[in-house]
Amino acid sequence: MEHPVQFLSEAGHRLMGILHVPHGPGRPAGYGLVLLNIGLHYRVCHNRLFVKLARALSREGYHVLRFDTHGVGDSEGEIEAGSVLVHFDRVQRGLFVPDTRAALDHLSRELGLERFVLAGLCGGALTAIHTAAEDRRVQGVIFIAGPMTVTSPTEDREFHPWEAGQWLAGYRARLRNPRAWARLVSGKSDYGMMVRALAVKMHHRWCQMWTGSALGRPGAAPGGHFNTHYLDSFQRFVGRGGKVLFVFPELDKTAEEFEIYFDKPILTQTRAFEGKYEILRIERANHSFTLAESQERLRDGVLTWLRTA
Amino acid sequence: MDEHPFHFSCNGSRIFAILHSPEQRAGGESGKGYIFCAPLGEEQVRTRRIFTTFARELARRGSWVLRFDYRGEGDSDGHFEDASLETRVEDVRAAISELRRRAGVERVGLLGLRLGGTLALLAGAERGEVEDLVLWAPIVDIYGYLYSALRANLATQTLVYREIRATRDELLERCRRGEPVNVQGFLFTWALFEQARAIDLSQHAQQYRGRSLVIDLARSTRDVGGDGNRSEARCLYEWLAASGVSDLMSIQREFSWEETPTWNPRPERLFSQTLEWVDACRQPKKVEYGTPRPVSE
Repeated sequence: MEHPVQFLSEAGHRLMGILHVPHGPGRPAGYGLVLLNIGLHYRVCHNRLFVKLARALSREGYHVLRFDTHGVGDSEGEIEAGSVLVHFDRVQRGLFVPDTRAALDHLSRELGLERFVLAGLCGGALTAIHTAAEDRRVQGVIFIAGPMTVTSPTEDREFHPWEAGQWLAGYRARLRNPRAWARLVSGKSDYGMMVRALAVKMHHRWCQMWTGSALGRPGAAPGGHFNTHYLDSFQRFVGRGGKVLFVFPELDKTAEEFEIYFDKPILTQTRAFEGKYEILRIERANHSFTLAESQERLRDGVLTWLRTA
Repeated sequence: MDEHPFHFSCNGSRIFAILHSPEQRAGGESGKGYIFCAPLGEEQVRTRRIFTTFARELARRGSWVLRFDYRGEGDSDGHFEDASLETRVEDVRAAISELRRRAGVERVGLLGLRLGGTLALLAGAERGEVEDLVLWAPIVDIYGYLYSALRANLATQTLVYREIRATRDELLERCRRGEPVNVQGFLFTWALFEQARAIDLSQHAQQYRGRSLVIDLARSTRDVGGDGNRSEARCLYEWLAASGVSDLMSIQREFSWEETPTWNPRPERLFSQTLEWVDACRQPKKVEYGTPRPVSE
C-alpha cells in the first residue's frame, strides 16, 4: 500500500513524496526508511529502482518514504538552470540535508516514528550520510554507489581512468562491426573522445609503472579530490554508534574510487570504524542497476542488512 | 499553487496523478483542461521536471492540468513489461475521464512529449472530445524508435561482458520468442514492437478533427526549420494539416531526454511558443499560422 504525501521543507517549500506502508506478512519494524533521490533525478530513481525497492521493503514490514527534494520532480522550489556538475557539487556538500530533516519530521509527526534508516544512491548517498551526521534519529545509512571525490565546478571535468577504460573497451567490442568502421571512415565517430580516452589510459598506466600511484597522477595521494566533507560526516555518524551498509556496483567508477580513496587508506586502517560498517559489492551491476539480477541482489542485500545490523 | 496528488483506477490498477487547479479563474479558462502525456521509460524520468514546470505555467494562466503516470511507469501500479502501447492509450482515455470528473471541464487538450505525443494523438484521434493537441518532438516511426532504443542494451552488454553478445536483430528475435529486452532497466516486450509495427499514424492523424501544434525540437540551430528539413514532426504536421487545423514550429532543443550535462527545468523558447499558441486558441477567431515558423535565436 502506498499513498502520496506532501509536507513543508524548512524553507517553506511543499515537498512531494510517496509513503509505502507495511502491508505484507512481515512484522512492522518500528523504524522508517527514507530513500533519497540521486542529485536532480526525481523520487522513482533510474528504471524505477526505488519504486521496486520501496514496494519490496514495505512487504517486509517497513514504512518507506520516497520524496522529491526542493526544485526536483513534483516538489516546489527552484533549482536554477545550469551545469549539472555545479548543482551536484552543492548536493555533495549537503544541499538537500534540510529537506531530508523535514521528511524525518513529517514521519515522526504523522507516524510517531523516532528511528530511521536513510538510503541513497549516488548524490543521495551523500545526502544520507550528511543528514545522519547531524540528526540523532538516524540509526543507519545505506550508502549506494556514492562518489568519494568532489566534482569541483571550478575545474574541468576530470576524465576518470576507469571511464577511459570503459570507452576503450567499447571501441574494442565494435572492432568487428562493419557499421562501426563505416562510422569511423565517414567521420561520424567521436575522434576527440577516442584520443582522449587513449591518452588518459596511457597516462594512468605510465603513472602506475613509474610511481606506483593508482590514482593516475604522479605523487597524488588521497586528499586532492577526496570529499573531506563526506569523511567528516562518516566519522561523526559512526562515532555516535551509527551503522553503514556500503553498496558498490562492480561496474561503476564509484567502486574503484571507494577502494582507492577510502576503503584501503582509511576504512580498513582505522580501528574505531571496525564493526560499524559492512560492504556489499554487487557483481555485473552498473551505476543505475540496469540488470534485473543486480536489482534483486541490491534488494536482498538491503533486506539482509536491515534484519541483522 | 494548488496541486493535488492522488490515485485513480484503470482496469483494476491504480494510476498516480497530480491535478493542478487554475490560479486565475477570472478571465481565465477554467472550463479547459490539459492532460500531459509523458514519454517512455528513462525519458520520462529525465523530463519530469519540465512537465511539472509547464503544468504550473498553464495553471497560472487559468487551465486545469492533469499529469499522470502510465501503468508500469513512475508511481503507478504494475510493471513496465506488462504495459503496451494499447494500455498506455487506455490510460490516456482514463485520464481524460478523470479530469472531466474532478475538474468538471468541458474542453480537453492533450500535450505529449516524444512517445507521449504519439500516444496523445492516438487517444485524441479516437475521441472527438479532444480539442487541442500539443505535440513536442513526437515520435512518428514508433517501431524505428523502439528499435533504436535497443542500442542501450548493446551499451550494457559492452559494459557487463566487454563484448556484444547479441545484436539488435538477435535481441528482437529473442523478444519475439518471449524474452523481453532490457533497455536501461526497462523490459521491452514483443507486444510493444508488434503494436508499434501495426500502427499507421498517418491514418490516425487524418482522423483527428481538432487543432494541433507540432513542435520540432531540432538538435542544433542548423537543423531548425528550413525547406530541406524532413523531420518526423514535419511529416506528422502534414498529415494533421490535411484534415484539420495544424501548426508547425521548429525550435532548437533547450533540454535533453538523454543524459545531459545541463539542467534546464524551464526551456524558455519551447514554453513561450507553446503558451502563445495555447493563448491564441482561446481567442474566438483563429489565428493563422499555417506555415512553419522557425525560431532560431
